[in-house]
Amino acid sequence: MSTTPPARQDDSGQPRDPARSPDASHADPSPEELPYRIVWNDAVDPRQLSLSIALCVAIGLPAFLVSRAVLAGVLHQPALAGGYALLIGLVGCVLGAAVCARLFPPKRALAEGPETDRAAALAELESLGGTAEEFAALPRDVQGELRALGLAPDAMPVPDAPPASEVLPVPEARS
Amino acid sequence: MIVDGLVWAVGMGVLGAVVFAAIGLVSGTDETATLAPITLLVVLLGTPPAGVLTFFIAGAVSKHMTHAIPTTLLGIPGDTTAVPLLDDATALRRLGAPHIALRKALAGGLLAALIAVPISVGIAALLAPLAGPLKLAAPFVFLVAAVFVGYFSPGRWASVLAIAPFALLVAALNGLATAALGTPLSISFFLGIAIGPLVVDLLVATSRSGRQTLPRSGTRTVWLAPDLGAGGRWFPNPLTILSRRQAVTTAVAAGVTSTTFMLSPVAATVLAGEIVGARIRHPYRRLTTLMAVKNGTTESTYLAETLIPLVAFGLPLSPVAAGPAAALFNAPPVYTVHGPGGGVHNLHSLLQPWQFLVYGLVGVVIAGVAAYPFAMRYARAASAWASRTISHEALIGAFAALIAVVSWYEGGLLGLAVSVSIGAVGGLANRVLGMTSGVQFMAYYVAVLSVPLLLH
Repeated sequence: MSTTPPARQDDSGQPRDPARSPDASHADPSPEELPYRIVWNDAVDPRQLSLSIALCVAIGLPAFLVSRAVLAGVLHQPALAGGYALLIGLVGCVLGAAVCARLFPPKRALAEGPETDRAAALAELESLGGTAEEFAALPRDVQGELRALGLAPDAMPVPDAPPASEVLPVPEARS
Repeated sequence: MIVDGLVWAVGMGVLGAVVFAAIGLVSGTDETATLAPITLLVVLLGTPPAGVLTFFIAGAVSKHMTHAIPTTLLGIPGDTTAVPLLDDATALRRLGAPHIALRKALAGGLLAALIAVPISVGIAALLAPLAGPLKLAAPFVFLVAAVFVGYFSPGRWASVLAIAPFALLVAALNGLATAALGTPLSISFFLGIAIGPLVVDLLVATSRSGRQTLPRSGTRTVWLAPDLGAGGRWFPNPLTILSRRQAVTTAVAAGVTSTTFMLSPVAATVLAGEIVGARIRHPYRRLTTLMAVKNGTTESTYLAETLIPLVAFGLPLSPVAAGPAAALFNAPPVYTVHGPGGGVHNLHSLLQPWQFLVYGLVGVVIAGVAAYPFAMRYARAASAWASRTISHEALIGAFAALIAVVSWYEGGLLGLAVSVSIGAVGGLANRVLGMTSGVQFMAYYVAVLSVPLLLH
């Protein structure tokens, strides 16, 4: 918005944005800093992936085969052995995954903190077409939602809103 | 008998809601690859029909709720069906309102699910008189359905053309299996088709030349929106989260899409989004309405595509019925679509329409009680936990092992080989031709039901 002090815009500008946006993590500079590959939509270490598959299969499949062989001998209705063995095999798969999750940590880093401050959010809203005139045309319940989020335009005096102090550009105004 | 059914229904519904609410948190899990095998397992273990139905419905609805969490808060599609919501969710995230995106999506989803069950069961009851003639014509109906689904997949005519080689491959492998084992395979084919994209990625990763085509990545930075409180109540009322217009629009969109059962949920969602979005000028209002309407449409189409073919025909005649819900129709030896007398023996013949209505609603309500408040309240903590602790390596390992165990259960080493072969071919057809798994499931039915008739 035109009322925004320039300092705030700098604060929320380019330098911090790439780290925050998940899409930006593809477009990184040097290849030796990119040891992982995207497999089935997420980053994995190829060696750890092979080990992980080997480990899970090595736990799950024998769990199924051994329990089927044992149950077939023990149960009165051998037909049920396959079903129970399947369940034990599934538990084996989950156990294997738990072990792998311990051994191989995720290749993700969580970035936390406020993504956009209010000024940037308001500028974004206006660039999408959310002008003050459009705001005025909204039904009251939607206006109320926007006001609660601190996304109501400052320049727009609204009859039932407390003036000035309520609409100061403080990030905490969103809640 | 009724009490017994209800006990099973509630028990399995809770189990499905908990299991799939957890799976939904792990971003990038595929709908078909998770719902189909686990539901199959529940069927094979001998769960009564009421329990199977609520397990599936509660599981699907819960998964759709929790997978909205990574979609809105992390900006990663929680699932293939969440992809149409991603752009709008990202825009709301840039407005600093990811939590609003999530709540609108969840409220829309729950509202739509409650509307979709009675409407789709009602539509199914109207279509039921067609079931008799349809069953006689089933082999040809599947051929037509395969062409229809293929044409509306991203591959268009390529997918339609690829039905022939794919169906022949299935028929040939099934012949081989019948010769070797004495019975045909089916679970192994399902699993192969469902996990095709994973199989292809793994094959490419082991290829010296192919590896270069997999995108490189460093540690992926995932930004998590701050928590802004869920508002005091334990059960946030969807009708107060949505504005009145949003609630009405979502309800209408859900009602209309509950009557369709041939469009894919993604296609229906995109269509509903285009129609609704074009009429709203203010971006905030448009984006939040789209979150509710799109998520609601995904939910209602999904349930209609499962329930209409199931209640009316007992034949998996929709992309969802042939894919994620496949085990409700065909899970030999428990359920089958081509029994000895050519008859259908599955949930369709085991439950009455009113039972579908009751148990379907029980499933939705359980998801609404278990997953919905959880997703509303602990969205942020849960996504942080999932992305910090569950590595993608462990997830893929578990799925690889699950496929190995279940296909071995059906056909030993040959079953596993069939799964991997179909996965490799199907996954490549999916990636290169845009022949989605829905088309491949249809091609499987063409191979099993239509090809033998065409040969004689």
